[in-house]
Amino acid sequence: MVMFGYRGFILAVDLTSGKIDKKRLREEMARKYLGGVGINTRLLYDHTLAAVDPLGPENVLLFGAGPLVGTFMPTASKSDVAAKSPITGLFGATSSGYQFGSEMKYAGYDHILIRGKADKPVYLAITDQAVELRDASHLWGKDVWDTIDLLMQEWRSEDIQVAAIGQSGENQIRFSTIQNGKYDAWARTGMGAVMGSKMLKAVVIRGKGGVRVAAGEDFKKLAREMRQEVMNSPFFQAVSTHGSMAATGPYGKFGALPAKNFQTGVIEDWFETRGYKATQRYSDQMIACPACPVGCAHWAVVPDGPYAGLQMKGIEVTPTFEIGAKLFVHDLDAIIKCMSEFHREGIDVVSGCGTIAMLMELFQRKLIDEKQIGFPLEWGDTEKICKLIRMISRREGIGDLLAEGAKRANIALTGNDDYAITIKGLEIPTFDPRSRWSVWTFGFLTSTRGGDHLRTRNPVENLRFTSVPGENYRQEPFGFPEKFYQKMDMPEELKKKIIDPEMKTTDIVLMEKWSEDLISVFNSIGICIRPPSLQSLGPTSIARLLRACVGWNMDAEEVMQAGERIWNLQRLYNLREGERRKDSIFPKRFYKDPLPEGPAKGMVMDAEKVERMLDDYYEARGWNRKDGIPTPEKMAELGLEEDLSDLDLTDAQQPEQVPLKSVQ
Amino acid sequence: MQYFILADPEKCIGCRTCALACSFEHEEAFNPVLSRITPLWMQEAGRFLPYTCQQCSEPLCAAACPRRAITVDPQTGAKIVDPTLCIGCRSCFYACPFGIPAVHPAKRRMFKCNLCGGSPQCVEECPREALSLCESDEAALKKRREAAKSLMQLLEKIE
Repeated sequence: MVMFGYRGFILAVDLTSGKIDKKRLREEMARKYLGGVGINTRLLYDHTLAAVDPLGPENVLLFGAGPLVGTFMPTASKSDVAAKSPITGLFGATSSGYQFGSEMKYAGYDHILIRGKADKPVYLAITDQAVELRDASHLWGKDVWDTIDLLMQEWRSEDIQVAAIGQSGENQIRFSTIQNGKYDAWARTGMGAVMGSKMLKAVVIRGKGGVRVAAGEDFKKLAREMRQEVMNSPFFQAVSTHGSMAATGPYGKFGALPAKNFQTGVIEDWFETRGYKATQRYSDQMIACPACPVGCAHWAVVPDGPYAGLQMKGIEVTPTFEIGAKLFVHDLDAIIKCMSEFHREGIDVVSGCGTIAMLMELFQRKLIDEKQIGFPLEWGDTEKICKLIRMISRREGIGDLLAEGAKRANIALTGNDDYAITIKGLEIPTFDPRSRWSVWTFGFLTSTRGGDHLRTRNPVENLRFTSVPGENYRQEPFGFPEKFYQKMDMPEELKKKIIDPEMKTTDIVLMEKWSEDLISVFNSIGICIRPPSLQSLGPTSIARLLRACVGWNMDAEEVMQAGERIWNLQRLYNLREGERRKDSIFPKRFYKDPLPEGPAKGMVMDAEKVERMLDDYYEARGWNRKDGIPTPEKMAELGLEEDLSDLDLTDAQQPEQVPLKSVQ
Repeated sequence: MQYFILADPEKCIGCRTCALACSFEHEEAFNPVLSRITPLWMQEAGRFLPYTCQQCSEPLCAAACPRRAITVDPQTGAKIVDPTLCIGCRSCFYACPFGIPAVHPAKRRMFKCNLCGGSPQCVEECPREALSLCESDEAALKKRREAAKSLMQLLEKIE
């Protein structure tokens, strides 16, 4: 049977036995879980037992590219990677754009499932004709950029797509990335360490097949319409000119920067030195992922100074916050330098900076001394930061300890985790919830992958308005004109509950659920969650897209239900791995230390209010308000009742009165 | 008429929509390998160049063809291949200084840009207006106007 949109196959590779299988993708599974992160979630759930060692051969590593990937539907370039995470011990997943996802599709695969462990370094070579495991001894020990150069020479092609790990992944640093080409990555939750534990250095793909769609003319018309929608978005101009750097200014203004490991939210010369205008010295060339009209990545060549000649794609807001604020590196040239080290070694910039920032703060507070590190470590010292990145990647000296992540390293060094800014063991990125309380920052707590912001996002967040935690924590400002509200692709009933256009507020709890489900859909069908597309494409458009692409007669409700099913299965996965309500907690700093300066001076999080938000969120999700366990009714609605009944959750069920978490 | 596709590297962001639109039009599948246009990344220049047939005035491909399979479309001036005459011998490929003609892996016949009979899909779908269908003389005028603009700016600075 020919499938449209999908290529219809899962590539299953067992590294222990060397067996390679091409399995059919069942249409029933595709319709329920869509693709990308959705099908990855189902496969991870079904192909691993509870409590497997994330760095053992029983863990599986999954790549997935959804039905729209490889077509010209605007922004449809995303692929997703999943495995049990070695840093959280929970659901691990991470998404990336660029060309790997479409190349998977062109080679004939929607998903790749890798299990077992090779007995020597190998890489997986995939073409339309053949799939094989090849020796990678000559690549083991090489950094990512050198690995890619060597593979291109070996294949005599610049057109191969490469997913590779650096020494970090080889040495199973818990927050290693898998790099997607030289400048992109599947970065969060340590997927590179899983790949390294399997002795798999790289996946190389060259595909020459095509992606077909069910209704060509409709698809073409829709693509054109959606392209127009994306380009008409009020976010288009800013993002296509400045990339994600458009957001550096506002967070500086809110005093919501993670400066010096979240000790303060304010940096005085932030905008001049690290704002979007500072990128103008590199080039005016923007680079797009396949099919994307936005093109949010800068091409940067450092023109002069100590890093002259260094090339980088994508001066992004996250590394700028992480390196520029968390580690206090003063200028963009130096930030690009640090970023290139993260890329070459294959380390997640967020967890990497979170871990190094923890160490810097311990040194600042004289809780550790120079001898323990090997050198003095001051805020913003680029040379020492680059040195530490390499020490982590090679597990040299204190790098061996840091390789375990901020939380474990902090405990090992001082006996507590006071300076590890993590949730569920994952380092929190970018914004301070004390001064920017929003769907994003509350989402740190509810995310199925721990302290992270990219699996949720308010599609109508307006960065012109500040948002400190209000009276009951439920609202953030809705700062758009009426017609924007009218146009939003959301069921009218729900829209009335979520947004109050009169009061100009958005309900954080309800928007959290909506956007988590919506983004699960985006990451499954393969479209980008950056504002121009997230704001313009909703479930009604997506249902139309899937009809033209795959041929399904789906409505908006079924689309959102698929998103909800995916999110709920991730929740069940985490419950199976032992996550409990008590794990959804902000680091102590946010409850204890008032912000010292800036527009949100004096703000701390109120634990009781945060707990009530969680109660409300669980209720909104159809989960038990007390312990966040999905109810049998909700599971039956989503077709997950068997998955729930298989779980032993006796230790998770809470008594009538929930005692508030003690926050010391 | 003598049309060709004019590319503006300063506007191109490398999104490949042109290549995908092309293969979709001619192959009913999204497949950059079978596209008649390829946006190439020029690392040294830091620019993308969407690369396709220039529809030469003196087409070496046509001259090299032993079967006279390449002719001129009178409507557009496009050099088009007659697949019933083509034998997939690659003479055109060797003759073309730009590496444009390629042999289709399934059909075993040469394929190249035919300007889609006057409404090239790459031009229509390009979101950044980096491509346009031009007549040769108009293209020159267009380029002169743009060059004149930057010259004016320079002159203003001098004054």
